[in-house]
Amino acid sequence: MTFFRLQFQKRRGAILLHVLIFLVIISILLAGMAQLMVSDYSIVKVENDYSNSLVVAEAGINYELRKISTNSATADQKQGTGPAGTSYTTAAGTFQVYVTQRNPDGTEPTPWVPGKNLWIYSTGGVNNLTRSVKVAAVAYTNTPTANYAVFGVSEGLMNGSATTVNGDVGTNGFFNFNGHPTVTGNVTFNGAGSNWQSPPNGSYTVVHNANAVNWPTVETIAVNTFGAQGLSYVAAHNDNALASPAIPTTGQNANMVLINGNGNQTFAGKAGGANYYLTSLTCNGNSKIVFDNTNGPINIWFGPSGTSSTFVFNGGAAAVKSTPASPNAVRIYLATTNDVILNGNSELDAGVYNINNAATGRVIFNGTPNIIGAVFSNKFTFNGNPTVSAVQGYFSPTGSVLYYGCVPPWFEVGGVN
Amino acid sequence: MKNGFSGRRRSGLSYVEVLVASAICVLCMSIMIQLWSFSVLLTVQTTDNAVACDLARQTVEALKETGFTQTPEAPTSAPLVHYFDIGTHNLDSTPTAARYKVATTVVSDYTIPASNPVLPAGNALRTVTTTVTLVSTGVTLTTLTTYLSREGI
Repeated sequence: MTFFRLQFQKRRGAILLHVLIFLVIISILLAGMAQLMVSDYSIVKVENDYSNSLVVAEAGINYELRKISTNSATADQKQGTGPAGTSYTTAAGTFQVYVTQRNPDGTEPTPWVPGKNLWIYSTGGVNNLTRSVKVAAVAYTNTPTANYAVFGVSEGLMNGSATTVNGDVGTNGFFNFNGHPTVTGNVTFNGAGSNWQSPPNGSYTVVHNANAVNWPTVETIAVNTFGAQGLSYVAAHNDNALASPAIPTTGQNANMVLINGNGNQTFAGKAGGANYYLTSLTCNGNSKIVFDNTNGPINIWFGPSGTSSTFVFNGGAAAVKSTPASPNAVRIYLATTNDVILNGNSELDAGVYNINNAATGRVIFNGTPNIIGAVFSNKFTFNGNPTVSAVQGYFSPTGSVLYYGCVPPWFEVGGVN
Repeated sequence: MKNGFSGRRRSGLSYVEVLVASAICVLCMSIMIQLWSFSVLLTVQTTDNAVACDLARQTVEALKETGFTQTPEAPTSAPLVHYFDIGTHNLDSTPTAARYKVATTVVSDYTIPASNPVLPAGNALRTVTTTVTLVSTGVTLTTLTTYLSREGI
């Protein structure tokens, strides 16, 4: 009896104790599991929000693209103070967006100038999580694809029948072909009202385009090449000393070339491009211009913009021919207002660009030069019997901006990956 | 006598003890079952949310890949609908076996007049809305909205 009593006393409360211990263990396990589940739920929710924030940010990019494509003047420019961009709450969520210019040197000035390359920044968020993206964009234009040998912005006159143009002839104004010049390509009229001034003597392949071709002015090209100072910059920083004989940059004859008799003036190229600046150039007698572009391209700039000057040109054969425009091509830009006279009977391997405003500037072809390149001018007149053969790649029209679209690259700004 | 009385008391206590232990056990087990049930439900919800988000992103990216012009217009009255299982496998052929329904609308604010099928105008902003629901209950798990523009991202 004593034994059983002792056994019973030992077991007293054991069941309760064992149950409690069992329950505590199971509770701890279950609580841990529940905590894990809740934690997992929270993590998935945050991951979903993080993922969706990127979609919202990308929606902001497309929203801004459509906005500036509709009216580039309404672009959300980067603000100097306060929030950098403009905040929009849309069906796609809330995002903040702004644009900056995208320069080739990596700088991002503001404000962005419509027509130029740009960056679009957008920050989108879901439930206090935000992600930012930065996307490159460009203007898509209706750049014409014609193979112009000669283009007269406002008019073109061709006198004589022995003139030959190998390529297209174009204008935004009118043409008057006296005689019967040969044009192997198209005669292209661009824009409303552009047409023959009087019917031609022969038949040509005529193309009428609805929109005029927009050519940048020489000053604009200079600004794009040298920065905001444009021609003034190249007037002060040029390669006139590379010419043979060297062209003075100071004194009474600064930036002027006058050659007589049988003399030559040689313009030499250099790697990256030699830029010459002239205020006048006159070739008298049998004198002529020679281009030594063996070492690089040659650009000759005539200025100042809008002033009167003299440009009478003979010769112009280049050491390196351009078919198509080679990396060492020769380009002549005239921002002055007087007529440009191309004389002589020899070869000219160059592109001549004489567009500053439609009211002034005419290129007059005399003699029988063989011009291999492109001649784009406000106006042109063919006298004599020149041959002009188109070489593509010398000059590009501005084109009209149709819309803006994304191009690589694409970045996430401050991303975790 | 004293000892006999004590023995009876001890004997009765063991029954009470078992009863109390059983009661605690039942109470705790019911709580644990609820906790377990909650955990299972939470796990299912977590999985559903994760899969729904993946399906929505997958749908939006697929539309972006199709492109601004090639993506067909899909108004609210006739959304693009696809069915998926929990492994994001397409079950359009057997929608009753699917767990998720993905309905996508694509609405352009400008369209080419008289185009058939309807085509977006070049200057359109196309709103893409993807909604993922549970086939069994019709509960909406996630909705993702974004924009498409010409030559956009």
